[in-house]
Amino acid sequence: MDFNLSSEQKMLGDSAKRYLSQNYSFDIYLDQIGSNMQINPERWQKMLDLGWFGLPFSEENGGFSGSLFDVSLIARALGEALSIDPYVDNIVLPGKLLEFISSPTADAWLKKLIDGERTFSAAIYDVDSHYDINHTNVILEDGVVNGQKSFVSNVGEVDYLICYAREASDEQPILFIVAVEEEGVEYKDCRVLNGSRSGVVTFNNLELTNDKILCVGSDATAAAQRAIDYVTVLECAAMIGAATAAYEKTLEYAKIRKQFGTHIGSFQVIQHYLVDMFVELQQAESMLFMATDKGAVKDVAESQAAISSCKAYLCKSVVAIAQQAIQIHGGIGVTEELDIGHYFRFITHLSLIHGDRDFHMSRYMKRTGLEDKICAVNMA
Amino acid sequence: MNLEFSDTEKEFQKDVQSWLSDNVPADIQEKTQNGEMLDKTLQQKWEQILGSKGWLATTWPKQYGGPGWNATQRYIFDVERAKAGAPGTSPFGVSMVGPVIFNFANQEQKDRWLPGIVSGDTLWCQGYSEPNAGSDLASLKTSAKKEGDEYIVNGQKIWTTQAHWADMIFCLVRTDSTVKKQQGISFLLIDMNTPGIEVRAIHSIDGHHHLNEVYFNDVRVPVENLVGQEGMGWTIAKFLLTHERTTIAGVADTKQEIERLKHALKNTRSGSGVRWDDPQARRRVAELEIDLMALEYTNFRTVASTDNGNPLGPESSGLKIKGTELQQQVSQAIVELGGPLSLAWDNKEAIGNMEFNKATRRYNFLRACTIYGGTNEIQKNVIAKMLLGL
Ligand SMILES: Cc1cc2nc3c(=O)[nH]c(=O)nc-3n(C[C@H](O)[C@H](O)[C@H](O)COP(=O)(O)OP(=O)(O)OC[C@H]3O[C@@H](n4cnc5c(N)ncnc54)[C@H](O)[C@@H]3O)c2cc1C
Repeated sequence: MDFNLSSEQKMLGDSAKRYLSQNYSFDIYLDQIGSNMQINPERWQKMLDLGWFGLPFSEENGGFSGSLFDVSLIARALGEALSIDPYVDNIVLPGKLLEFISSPTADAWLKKLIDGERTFSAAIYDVDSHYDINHTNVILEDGVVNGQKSFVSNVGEVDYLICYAREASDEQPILFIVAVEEEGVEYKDCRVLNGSRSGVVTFNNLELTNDKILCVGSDATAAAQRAIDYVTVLECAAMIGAATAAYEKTLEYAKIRKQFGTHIGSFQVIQHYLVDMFVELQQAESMLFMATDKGAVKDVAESQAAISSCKAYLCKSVVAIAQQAIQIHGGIGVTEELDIGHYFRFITHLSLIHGDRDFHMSRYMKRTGLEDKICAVNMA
Repeated sequence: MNLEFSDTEKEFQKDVQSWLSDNVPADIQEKTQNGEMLDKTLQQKWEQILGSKGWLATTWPKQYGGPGWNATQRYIFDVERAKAGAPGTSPFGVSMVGPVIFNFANQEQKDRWLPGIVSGDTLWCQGYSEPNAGSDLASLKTSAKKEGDEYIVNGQKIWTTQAHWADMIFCLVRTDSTVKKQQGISFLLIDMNTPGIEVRAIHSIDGHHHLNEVYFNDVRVPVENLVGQEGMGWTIAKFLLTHERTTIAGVADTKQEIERLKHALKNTRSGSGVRWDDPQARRRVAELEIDLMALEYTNFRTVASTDNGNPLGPESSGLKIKGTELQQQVSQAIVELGGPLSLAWDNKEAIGNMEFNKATRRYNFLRACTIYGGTNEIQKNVIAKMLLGL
């Protein structure tokens, strides 16, 4: 086993941190939350120039064949900087969908994404999907689509949507692509917890030509599932990045905040809290390393078990770190003025997308056969 | 042991239910049931409705305009109130400064301030904490210097809830800096309209404005506004801390939150069914109900002992700690069980279910409940020292 980063990986991580320290800040974040401008053209261009758009994708598709671990370094740096620039939502997720569809049409779209020519968002979930991607009431019938998708990231700022739906005739799942501008596509959006925007998209007799249908049948479900699994690991990385920053800032605060004539870090209970955070962070990081490696294996049950165990663990431990960071700060921790409360929201947000703890616990049990055993015991 | 309400208590419960069903305004009910915050107008409207019925200052003795209820009656009222979708009342007048006034103030002061509190007409806020005096409250620096028949107040308070609504603020101020810290503190009532007071908003992570900084710049306060004697402020503050233990656990509202969670789960579509079909969700509800039960019966014990005139027993000491922890757990469960629906922040139309859409703000705000009113770490320090003798 080797847990060391290669020199390329060190450079990648350092350059991501450097880019963020020079181009992002808490003030920029404060302007960004809730605004209609989540995709900032200047920073988008810089991320493109840094090669981030191509990193997650294979060389055949015009990418740089970065590993899941490589990409996680970027997600982690973004999380550490509290950046809500939607790299994962609007580059990696739609891009991975296109890559996993793996057809000449999808590849052509992917090229436009990697080149920064066009922007995309993924429309996977219905409002009542909870976390089950298989469930959708967006229906294609006689070349016409009707239905509604929810939780579409920054829909007001992208050119195209890649949408998960099904055919009326035989219930087959499909993935199709459509321009947001197209007639028959309407959306409403609102701010969500991390400060970015999310939309509800309604298809009202949208006419869909065959060239817009990217994938049909179990391949469509598999592509969507794999793409979501991939970004789930990145969200775990972002959670750890954010938790690292929250921990470090809290440790710093405990050394300077004085009450009762001494710094609060001298109280044993505060020391133990901080030690718990420190230790949990190591554990969470270990899970991330595990998931970036095992999450990329071919065997679906194995990779999903790895990814779900990581997310399930982090939803508990990293959320607890964020809560503790607030508690140690006292009153200032619950204000909009200080970044600590924002890290807490950022982490909570990530803990609730693409599967929460319950969802990933069940999936872990299914993929490892634990569920069967429980049934067997109950029957006995 | 008898763990049932008596017949008279059941009768009382019915009266309360029927009054509430006729008197909680629909707009207030709707907002409260959605978990939304009330603005000043609605909050005060509800408090004035209670005030005109004589049910606002529920802990007060009859002679000062309270209903003269015992702790069990107060508990019953509180549970029914929450069930009816009515908000809790602002604590600053009724639960804090009111009891200070009728325990420590002179007759003139009682006549002057109590009626406005009982009726809900005067809104109060609490000026204790300062930037460098949070947990270590006795280090407060805001000074009050006597000049003739006035105090001249200078300094800054922070985290002052509802200072932007309030007509009056009760403050701990330093009147003597030559004696031991605790002994130089006095309890002063200040009209928020006095020149020299400036209120600046602080926004909380639920996106709302509850908190403020309050600056005092040569603020002139008549000496008649001093409660008790100079130097008695710390004694009064300590009295206040131990005064009200029967509602501090927040049992009634937490109970209602769990009901709201069940309602939301049953009314949120998920796949071909509803969220309630998920056994993990129901198990989580069961866990919360059991935790609540432990708190509720501990609370009953406290209530029963004070009704019998006994001093508060050790069982009451953990109420604030357990109560606030449970408030946080329930709000976290609502957010987590709503899943993606809980991410919505400022939508006007429901996304899936408005109860889940609104849950996140409350979850965010409630991170503060283990901080305000003395942090849970400080509560534990106090219990360790006072009760366990450590
Ligand atoms: C939402 C909200 C509403 C509030 N409303 C009011 C109000 O209306 N009026 C008012 O006067 N105040 C109000 N407060 C202030 C509140 O009482 C203080 O925030 C609280 O007393 C903690 O003080 P602090 O914020 O300065 O934290 P600090 O005292 O700096 O504490 C920071 C951390 O150190 C810990 N700590 C401190 N000392 C010790 C110790 N000896 N041992 C172990 N741990 C310790 C604390 O527990 C905390 O975790 C409010 C606060 C909030 C968040």
